[in-house]
Amino acid sequence: MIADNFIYCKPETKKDAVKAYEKLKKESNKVFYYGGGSEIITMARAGSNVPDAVIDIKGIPECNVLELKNDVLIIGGAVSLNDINESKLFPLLGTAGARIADHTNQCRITVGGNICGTIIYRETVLPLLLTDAKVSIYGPGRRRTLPLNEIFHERIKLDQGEFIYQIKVKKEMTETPFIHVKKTANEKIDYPLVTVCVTQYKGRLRMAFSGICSYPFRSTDIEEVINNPEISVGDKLNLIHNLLPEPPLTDYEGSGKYRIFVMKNIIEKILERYHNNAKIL
Amino acid sequence: MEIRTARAEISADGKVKIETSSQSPFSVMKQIGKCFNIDAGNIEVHVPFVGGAFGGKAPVTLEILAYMASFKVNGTPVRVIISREEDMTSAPCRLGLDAKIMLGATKEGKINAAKLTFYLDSGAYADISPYMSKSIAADCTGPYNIENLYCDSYCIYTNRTYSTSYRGFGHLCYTYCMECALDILAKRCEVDPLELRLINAIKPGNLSPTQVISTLSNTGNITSCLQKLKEVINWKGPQIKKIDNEVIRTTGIACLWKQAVPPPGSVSGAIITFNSDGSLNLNTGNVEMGSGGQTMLAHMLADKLKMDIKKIHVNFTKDTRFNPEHYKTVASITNYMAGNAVMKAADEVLSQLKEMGSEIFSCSPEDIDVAESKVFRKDNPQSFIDFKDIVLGYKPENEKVIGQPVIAKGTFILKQLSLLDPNTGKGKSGPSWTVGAQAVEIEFNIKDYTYRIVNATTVMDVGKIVNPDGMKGIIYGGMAMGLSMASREVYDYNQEGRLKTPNLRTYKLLHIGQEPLYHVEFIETPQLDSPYGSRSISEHGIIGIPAALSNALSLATNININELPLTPEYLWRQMEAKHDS
Repeated sequence: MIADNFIYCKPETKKDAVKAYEKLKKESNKVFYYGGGSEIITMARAGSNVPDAVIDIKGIPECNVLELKNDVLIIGGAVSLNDINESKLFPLLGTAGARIADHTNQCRITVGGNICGTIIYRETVLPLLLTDAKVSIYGPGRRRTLPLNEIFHERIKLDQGEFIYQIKVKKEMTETPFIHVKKTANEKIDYPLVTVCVTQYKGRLRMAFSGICSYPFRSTDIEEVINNPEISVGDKLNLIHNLLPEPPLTDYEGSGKYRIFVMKNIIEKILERYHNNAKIL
Repeated sequence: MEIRTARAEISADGKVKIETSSQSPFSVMKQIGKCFNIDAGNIEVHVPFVGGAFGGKAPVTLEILAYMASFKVNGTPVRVIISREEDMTSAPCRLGLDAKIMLGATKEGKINAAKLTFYLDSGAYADISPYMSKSIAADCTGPYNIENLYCDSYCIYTNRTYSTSYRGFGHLCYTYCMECALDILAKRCEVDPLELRLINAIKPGNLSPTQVISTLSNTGNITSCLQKLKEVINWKGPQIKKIDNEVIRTTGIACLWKQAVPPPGSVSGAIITFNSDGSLNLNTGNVEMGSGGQTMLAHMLADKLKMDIKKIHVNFTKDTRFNPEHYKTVASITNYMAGNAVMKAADEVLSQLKEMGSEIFSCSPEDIDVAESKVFRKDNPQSFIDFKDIVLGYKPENEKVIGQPVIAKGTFILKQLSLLDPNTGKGKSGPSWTVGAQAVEIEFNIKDYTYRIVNATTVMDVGKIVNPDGMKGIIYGGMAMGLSMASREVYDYNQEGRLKTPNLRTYKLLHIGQEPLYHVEFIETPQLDSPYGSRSISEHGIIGIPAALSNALSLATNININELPLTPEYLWRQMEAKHDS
């Protein structure tokens, strides 16, 4: 429940959405595009982010697309995690989404919302970073489509009034072998202590992480070490935690040191399997 | 688990009406009366069916605020509702405890002396914590005979959310400390921890910590509980079973006991009236909040009157204007206090019916019997009168009216309790104990220190089994709460003393899917002064569970674990510390 009044509008085209944004922004301070709304409810309840106006992008047809076209998977920004999972079009993204929140919320949370939201884990970003996904962004300026890797640094760098209306991933990349491991403090449904996403593409492992730091990331530094056949598993494990982009996160879910311990355990298991079979699966 | 809420209004003639989700409507009446100098009779307290309380709705808090707010606006009704976050941050919560346990024992594991010190984290207000402090001291040993005993129990103000009663009234806290210490002692003496508990189990003729002479009636039989536990979990001493390269299985055990410590002179009452269909209404002052007290009373009454329980109606909502006073619906003593009152009321029902029956059948009341909602002569059960034709007076066609409507009452007052002697600690603080033995089996991952709870077992001496499924359900629930609390629940404060876990997103609970299999077995050692010999059981399922889980983990990790909650990160920290040293 949100106990404050706010404006709700549901445009039917992306142009109208941006128009609405520009108009509302003149009158009020906090204007949010939204897909599922689960995070807005949470933030409003906590009092940390109460909207003055929300623009529901579920009315925009392009934002609801989920289809393969010319060997490219197109995912609308307002497609729910559960729809992605049930479509089986992108198993890795489906798996990652199926471990975010509970099923009720997976039916509500959208991929665009998960990437752009304020909750720091943004676990759908991991598969997208590893599969060279591109994002199509629409806003007051011109429409732009660019690799997620280029626009996502700690969080997605959108300009004012912009929103993700589509995500594009090559079919070939959606089919790469993968491992997705999420470890929480204790519960099945919770924020991650560490989530590790691994894909194998052209004989190399790619790795992305959430929970270990205050933002999700793909680390080419860690990948260099992991893929180096000269280094033993033990040494790899000792090297990787020095390659994190920032010190590990400490909060009520777990201390930084403990997160490192959990991360090492996850990677050790993956590497043992990899070294035995030269395959991650 | 509804949050706490209260509503107050004051009528033009000064009468106060309070509606509240409370376990203690009569305390609300008394406290508001005392605080604001209002005659208690001018205060009416209504309590609806309460959704979960576990002691947390025994203190009087929001009622006072609602009254003051209503007073300020000339008696207009005012409702005070707090959010989940406010409820967890500012309304009273469960107790925190630190303890120092020193045990002196023979090599064989017989404990001869103990020095126990408890520090209770009362939070910012005393509320009921001093009574918990006393309750802990009075039962501090657990169900064991320790001849030389020294105990200090300190209640300490801190800058935290204040504490109140929570399932077990402090018992799960000190029991955790004692039962972990017993496992350490067993290890030191190289004695099977279950055998060590049997060696020290309290027996008739032994003294309780406050020097009450133990009898089977007042204490029950912990030895039988332990023996039964040994049998049902197939206990063969502490064992580590290897499941695979990473996972091992261990079991931990713990005992429990608890006596209720209501103030001397606490009262209860029951009124029975009848409906025109011959069914009856059982009216007590007990609040129903899911602990099954009303159902238990109805079962006892049905048995006593030899009638179908479906024809007994209990009232779930309470109103101090109509319901007879019951102390507070706390301490699991509905069966004992209200049960005794109900039994007396049932006697009155029988005597009134027999009186009428004797007049109708022209015999003495002793020749009349009552069963299956019928009144008849013992020597001629075929000729009977249905309840519906007699309970509102016997009115045969064209004949004279006999008797009068049946309305019966029964009352109870707690006697023979005393305060503790400040110098010796001697005194009788409760009517009886309930004892039990518990076990928790886990699968522990030696690589990442996570674990899965596989089985949880309780053997409890319930005195007399009344409504077995109901009793099992209550004990399962207690075990689940104990496992949740011990494995993850924590009131975590930051450096500034702010609660970091003020909602159910951050304050973790055990979920469906994480529950083990639950097993409950009963021992029946009657408590002679309680109806049907029944004992209090509602809270008790929680008490030994944290210690049993902890002892299983101590065995699995080979570390003496003695802190809660037992999260994988906590276990990892202990292992790291062990490796470093």
